[in-house]
Amino acid sequence: MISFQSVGFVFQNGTRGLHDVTLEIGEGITAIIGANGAGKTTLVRHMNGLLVPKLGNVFVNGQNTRDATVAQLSRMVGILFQNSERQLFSNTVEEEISYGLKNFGLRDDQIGAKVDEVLSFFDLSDYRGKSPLTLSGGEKKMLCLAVVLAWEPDFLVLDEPTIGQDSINKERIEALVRRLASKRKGIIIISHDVEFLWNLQPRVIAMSNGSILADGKASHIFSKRRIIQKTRIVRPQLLELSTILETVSNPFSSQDQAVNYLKDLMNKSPLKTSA
Amino acid sequence: MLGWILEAFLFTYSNSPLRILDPRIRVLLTIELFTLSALPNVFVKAAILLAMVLILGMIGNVFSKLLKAMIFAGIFSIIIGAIDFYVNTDPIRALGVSMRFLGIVGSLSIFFLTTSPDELGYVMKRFRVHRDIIFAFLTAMRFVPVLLLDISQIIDAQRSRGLEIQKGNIVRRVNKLFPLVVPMVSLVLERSNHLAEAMESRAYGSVKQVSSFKELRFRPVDRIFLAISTPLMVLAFYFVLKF
Amino acid sequence: MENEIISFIDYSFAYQNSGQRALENINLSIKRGEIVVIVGPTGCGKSTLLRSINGLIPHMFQGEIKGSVTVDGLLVQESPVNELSKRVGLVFQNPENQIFMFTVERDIAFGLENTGVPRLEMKKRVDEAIESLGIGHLRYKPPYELSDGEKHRVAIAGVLAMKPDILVLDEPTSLLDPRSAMDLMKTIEGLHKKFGMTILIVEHRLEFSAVIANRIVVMNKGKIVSTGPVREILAAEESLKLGVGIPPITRLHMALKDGGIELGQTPITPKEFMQNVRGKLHD
Repeated sequence: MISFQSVGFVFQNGTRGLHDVTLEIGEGITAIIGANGAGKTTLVRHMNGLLVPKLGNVFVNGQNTRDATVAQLSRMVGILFQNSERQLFSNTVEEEISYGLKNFGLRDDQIGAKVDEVLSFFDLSDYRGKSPLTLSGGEKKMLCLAVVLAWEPDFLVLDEPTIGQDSINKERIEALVRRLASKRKGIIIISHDVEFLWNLQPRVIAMSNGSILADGKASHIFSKRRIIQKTRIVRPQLLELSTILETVSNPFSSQDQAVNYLKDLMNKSPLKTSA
Repeated sequence: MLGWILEAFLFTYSNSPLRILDPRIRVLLTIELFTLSALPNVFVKAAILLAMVLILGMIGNVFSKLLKAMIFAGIFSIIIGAIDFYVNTDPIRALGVSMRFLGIVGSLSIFFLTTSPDELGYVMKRFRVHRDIIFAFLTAMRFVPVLLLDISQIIDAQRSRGLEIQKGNIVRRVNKLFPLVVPMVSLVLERSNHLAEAMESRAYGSVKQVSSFKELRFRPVDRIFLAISTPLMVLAFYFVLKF
Repeated sequence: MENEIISFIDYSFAYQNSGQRALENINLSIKRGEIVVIVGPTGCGKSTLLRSINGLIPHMFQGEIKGSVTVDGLLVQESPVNELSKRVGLVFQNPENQIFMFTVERDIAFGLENTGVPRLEMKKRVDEAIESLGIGHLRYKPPYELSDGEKHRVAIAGVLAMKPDILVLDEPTSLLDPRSAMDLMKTIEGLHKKFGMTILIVEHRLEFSAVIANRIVVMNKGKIVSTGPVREILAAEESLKLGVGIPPITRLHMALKDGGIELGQTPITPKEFMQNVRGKLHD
């Protein structure tokens, strides 16, 4: 459980970072949306102690972030920043994955086993001895995910994970997030990509100007005109379709659901001429 | 901290009365104030000069940012004053030395706050500095804050992977720099490549006969200001040096 | 062809010191006034294609060239960059790396200074570019005070001032929030209408660009895999396999089609989809 208690943060230049944020994030998928400068990354930087609140407290699994190091907290909350591909530095893919494990003090045999496990999970076994720089953009993203998941944090924070990814890779990330959620992990996603988020049907926290604007189910948050405007998003297409079809009280959360509804609609319609 | 320093010296466009003046005059004014502030170590004179700098900041519409620069410089000025006091055991003199430092920093801060690097480029052009050198200078200024941000992001990313720079002996600490230095170097290279491509795409260096968006020209207001300020400055120098 | 503005004929390119070809036997013809979207997985050769249009290849990036690229009657390999820059305006993916100056207006003038445009004409063109992109309020701002969306507009204004016939945009919306992305696409559509420009957009996701495009070119591994009208390409099974970002509503349409429900023209937006549904219900 990550818990924010009346957290306030102000940057050195006087701009407001967070204002009176109180929230709890547990297992499952949580999305954070908001315009640039709304405080999304400031919020997640508090989760592993990169930032410490000016006011209030942040607790990670009961641990006050004031009393722990970034390394201790990162073991519980793994953060993958936007442009995470830039953090790669090792000679080989294997070393890249081992790096964090060494920092966290795992034994060599444990490290070896972990590396094997994530390499095969991410389909990267063939690249084990290769330089990370030789990987394609999509593979680099997968490697970055492997790097974090190797130390099995309880929470995974993904900052704009779909930027620059093609739809195949997006689907892989989506599947990974679902799988982690089913293993009772907490996944926190900062994203503008509403279609990606809609597929995951997460809890959505909307931020604006350093405060929590709204917090609730995706179908609820994405239906509110005011929130959409303030967070500079557009409605997901399936939700928009639900709105037009007036099924918005129970919007299509998946393509299958929409297909079934429309098949029904077409067959029931008295005006329909048989095909 | 870094953000603070940047804030105190980074140009923001505002309708400051100082901006009416030709940038060359602002350069001159800064040099004069800078030298004046550097010269005296007498408390009263240093205080008067510091007051002048602050008033100029007020006229220049950059007072609040100037104060930030002062607070930052204040830390150093206290140290400098303390050292002076330790050496000379004269509290008034030490106070004068502290204020002198504040005056120097303040005059520089005003200059950078009211003069965009573009204008500095025009001044350099006026002094017949080669175009490539001006461009290199401007690009350097332009990308310093961008690179600082890059670096802080890389540090954050590696700390999130368990990097603890402060721990361990010297050899270990040097080894720990690898995860920071390697990405930084490749990032700088990447940015340079992108910049080079963008420059080329916008035809930089493609023709000999380039033109200029703006040419510096003295206007009546500049002449009048010079006519009034020059004798005053001469007088100020006379007083500072003589008494 | 009379109204052909870009033409690749049997064009291949390999960067110096790289074993393999980045582009392989490209044949592509783009008509004046077309809006074309180029899609494909990362590393498919999109950037190389763009560089081959504005002369960065071969003038900046050397390598082995086969075949030819012609832009507005000029053979790219043999034309100087300043001539090409008046015809092709290339806007890169990251606007941060293409704004050099400390005020917006001065940055927009950068290319004009470089090509020696006289001052009066320069002022006029800068004013026009600022007006076309609706960034008058940013005129005297330094780049570090601009948002990502604003930086994109400034970068576009900078190439627009050169009055190119062709505007090339490399992933213009990838870093933007959806609202800014939509606004930017509207602006681009406006430029197309106002100046009759030919526009090339490289994109991963198609929710925003497909709406304004006439045609899609799909690339993979340095080759052109398919090219055709937007709706045709979106509906093709191959596109999905290649990771082309097909809008969810188009996917829904295809799923219904697979289930035996034909709804007519392939939709890109929920509104279009509903038109189809209503049309069917009232048949």
